[in-house]
Amino acid sequence: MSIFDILLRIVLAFTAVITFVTLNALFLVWLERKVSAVIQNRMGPTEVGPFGLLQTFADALKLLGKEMITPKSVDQYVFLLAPIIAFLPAPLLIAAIPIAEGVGVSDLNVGALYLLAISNIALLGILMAGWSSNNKYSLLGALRAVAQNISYEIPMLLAVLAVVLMAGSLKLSEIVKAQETIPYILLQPVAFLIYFICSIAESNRTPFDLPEAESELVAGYHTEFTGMRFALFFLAEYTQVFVLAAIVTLFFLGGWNGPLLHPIVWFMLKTYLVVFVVMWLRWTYPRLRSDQLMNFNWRVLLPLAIVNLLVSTVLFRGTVG
Amino acid sequence: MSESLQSTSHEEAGADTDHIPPIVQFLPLQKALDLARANSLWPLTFGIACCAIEMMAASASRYDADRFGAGVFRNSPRQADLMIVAGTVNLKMAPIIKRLYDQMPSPKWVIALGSCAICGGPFDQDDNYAVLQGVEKIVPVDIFVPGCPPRPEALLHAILELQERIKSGSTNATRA
Amino acid sequence: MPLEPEAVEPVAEQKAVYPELIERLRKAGATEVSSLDYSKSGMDVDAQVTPQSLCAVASILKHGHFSLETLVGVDRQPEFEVLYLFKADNEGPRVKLRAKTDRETATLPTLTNVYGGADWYEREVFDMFGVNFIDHPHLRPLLLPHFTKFHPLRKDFHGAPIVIPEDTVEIPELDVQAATKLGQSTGLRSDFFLNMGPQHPSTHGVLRILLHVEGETILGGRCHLGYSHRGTEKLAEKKQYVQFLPYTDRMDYLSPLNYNWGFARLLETATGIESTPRAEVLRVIMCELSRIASHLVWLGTYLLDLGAITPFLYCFEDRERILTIFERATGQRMTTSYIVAGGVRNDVYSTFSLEISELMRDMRKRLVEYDKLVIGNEIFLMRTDKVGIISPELAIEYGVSGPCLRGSGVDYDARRDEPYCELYKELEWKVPFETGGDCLSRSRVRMAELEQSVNLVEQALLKLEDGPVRSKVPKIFKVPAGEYYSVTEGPRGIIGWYLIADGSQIPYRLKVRVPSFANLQTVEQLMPGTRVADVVSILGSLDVIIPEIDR
Ligand code: SF4
Repeated sequence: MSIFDILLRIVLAFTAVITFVTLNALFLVWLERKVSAVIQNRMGPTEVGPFGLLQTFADALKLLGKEMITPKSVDQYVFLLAPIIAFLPAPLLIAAIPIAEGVGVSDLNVGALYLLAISNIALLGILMAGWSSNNKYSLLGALRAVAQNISYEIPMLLAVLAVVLMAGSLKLSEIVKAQETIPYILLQPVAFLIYFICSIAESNRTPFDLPEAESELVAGYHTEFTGMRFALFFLAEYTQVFVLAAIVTLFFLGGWNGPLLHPIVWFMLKTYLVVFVVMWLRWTYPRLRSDQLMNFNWRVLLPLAIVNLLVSTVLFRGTVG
Repeated sequence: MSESLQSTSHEEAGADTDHIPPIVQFLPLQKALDLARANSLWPLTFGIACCAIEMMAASASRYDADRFGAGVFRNSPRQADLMIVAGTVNLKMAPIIKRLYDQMPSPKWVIALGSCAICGGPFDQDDNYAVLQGVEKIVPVDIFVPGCPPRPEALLHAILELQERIKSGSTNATRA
Repeated sequence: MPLEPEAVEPVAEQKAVYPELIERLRKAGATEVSSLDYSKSGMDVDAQVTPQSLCAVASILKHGHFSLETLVGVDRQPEFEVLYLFKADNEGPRVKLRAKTDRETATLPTLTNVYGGADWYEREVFDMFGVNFIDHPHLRPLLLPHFTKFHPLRKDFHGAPIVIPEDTVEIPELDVQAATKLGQSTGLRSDFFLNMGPQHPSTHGVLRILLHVEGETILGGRCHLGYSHRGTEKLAEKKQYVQFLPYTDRMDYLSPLNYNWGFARLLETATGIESTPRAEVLRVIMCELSRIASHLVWLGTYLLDLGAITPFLYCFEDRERILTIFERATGQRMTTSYIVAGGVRNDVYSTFSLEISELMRDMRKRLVEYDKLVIGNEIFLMRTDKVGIISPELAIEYGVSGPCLRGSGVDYDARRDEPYCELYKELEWKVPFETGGDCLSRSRVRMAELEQSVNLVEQALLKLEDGPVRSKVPKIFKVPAGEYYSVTEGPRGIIGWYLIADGSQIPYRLKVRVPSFANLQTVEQLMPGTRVADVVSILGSLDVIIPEIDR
């Protein structure tokens, strides 16, 4: 391959990923508003474009055209950098997700590890946002986010480990291949639950949306951000939801495996179904308190995850090995 | 941390950029922006008195302001485009409204909902010592909605009216 | 309340009603103790106290488990008088203490050492009349901005220009000290102040709370009121009785009808006008509907505070249906001005009963749903159980009323315990109460009340018979000189009206005792030791309406 080819590939991949991230987020926001509307006996956006589909485009364009305020008392550089760092993992994650056999920007041989590692960069962005804003609500929001994410990371890793153990590989396509006959949700229901709960907590969605708890912390860590900077947080959040759903699909729902339909269709169907469930939860449940959140993690999820890992080691690895 | 007592932020840095006219005019772009702005009016969650309940009703199921893209209530003024002053503004509240308005990024709009916000309503009488005679004294108002309280439909009408005005570029707000 | 109506009416002189109490008050230093006719003035015992004996007399009442209902400041020209209104539990009397001070010195001893709940009331009197309360822990303006120099309810005050000084958002140093004081005992170091409100999503209007926090744990906090103070009580001294009615709607806009009724009852007590039987039934129906509507808003917004968004929309949907009925019956969705002295303003429309009974049928189904989905939700239970416990003693000391009081295990409901509407005695219903005193108990009480209100409405509908809806009321409405107090039960608790009339068409002084005021005052006691998220939960469970508090 010539340098030119490589460059072209990079540019193409980059464009594709960014486009996907943006369009996907816009679609998800629209979907969220529609889902909430259906749940709440409302119509949701209807006036802008067919079914209000253009609503989120209008929102995005508006945010682009907004004045960008940098309050006097913020920590300038950190403040400017925070949204970018929070957004950074979004394209990086999307790039590593295979959508079907051989379709995707890159299928790393340590894919599972990569996804889990990269998704935590966003946390740094959140922390920077909270710290630099010089606003106590932001600070509290950021602190909550950090505490929550770091604690939920552990059971989440243990849950993933159980899956990796069964598949015998960290490569995402291998994990999917291992599920050709039975998706892991049936073999590893506990791991699935733990992973699902943790990943909701990681992406700060209800009932774990403490970092941006609207009724307590005004808008949480992004209270002081305007216009595009705020939009970056928004993009990051929705991409994270997508990634969360994609990982659930890859690890537990058998990825793109499925009869009749094209693998890509299967993958997307499953992913958006998971996204829908996440949204459904958001519009149904109240929010936990920070200490309860921690208790739930350390007292329930973590022991459960460890037990699950041990049991699956004995059951599956024990017989095979 | 304990020295600074104010959690809301201080004076705005970007406020004075408002007055500089754009050097190059991009008309089509401007049009597109206006269209987007008109269709995406995020109100600030901010109710003061009775009228606020009708504002809540306007965003609830029966009236559903979200249909027009005006249902995303933002709690932080930094992310809001529209301030709906819903209720009686008094001496103690007025500086806070001013500050909230300053904290919103331009272009921004104000709707004065109800007779209190328009002129002090039933409370501006002899011996009045507390109620401001209209929020217009402190922030520029684009649409006045009469009523005590105005019905939710009236608020929806005001939003639609504001959308029209934004599209035609005839509001108080300076376009950034 | 205490006196059986049959026993009261024939006896003109009431000297021998509470002899021991009167004796004890006398011993403690009260001068001129007399008993009053409850049915005429709404008070049982009236005692004049000197500044020196005030605390001693109040202690007697404290030992008798009286709760402090409100303080009424009056400018008697030239001297000032402060009236302390006390209420015993269901069986006991209402007692009024009067303390005088002259215009120049304008000082009285503070009652805060005896009744913690006197705190805000005294600050309000300080605001409005400039009466200093010696040894009050933090006497500073409550409702007025700290930069104002006038005392609006003095009779020689005639309005002030509305000028907003530059930078006024600064929190006065005094407040910081006050907030800090509560937390000092813990000796924690990494503390800071968090300012909630006035523009904050869960302060329900424009309340401001200055929190002193350490991480997320709250060391102490102070409420700042007055962001929607509108000077209603001053206005009342300028308006004819009839003209004042619309202002009663605007105090508590979630249950305007209950306020209408309270005001109408005050005028009826004072003038002796009676309402008609049909009007009484209509009042009950409308007020219970209004209670349902109000509790629905509470349910919706409370869950909003706890992070669940959807229930809010369902509650509002149900509420819209009630508002539609209000609109058809009264002409307005919220500011109804419907219940007037002598009955109701106009008769209802023809399909009124039909529509309501249909609505009540649906409501019953919805209530079951709410109960299962919301109150039974695990996360909801975690957020409310054992959070913000108001003990019965605290509740009584602070004069808490309504569902908050009943959530603390005190079984008092003015609808049952005050003889203000015969119909409530005839209908079959019960007063729900819980003993936990936490947010969950208060929520449960409200949910049970919703059900009871549906009950009441359904039964009352059957009692609706034809007839006039308003009795003869003189064209020129005057109230004979005297002092009157009347109490009704609103969705948030006791709505009390204290009227000093001078025989003209205009009140001399009209004081409203609003339930949220006392309920909110407990929050400063409940906060220390909880977390930031709990404050939201506690505030929501108290169901306060800020414009009602600020007036
Ligand atoms: S206009 Fe009327 S309804 Fe609105 S806040 Fe003022 S008094 Fe209340």
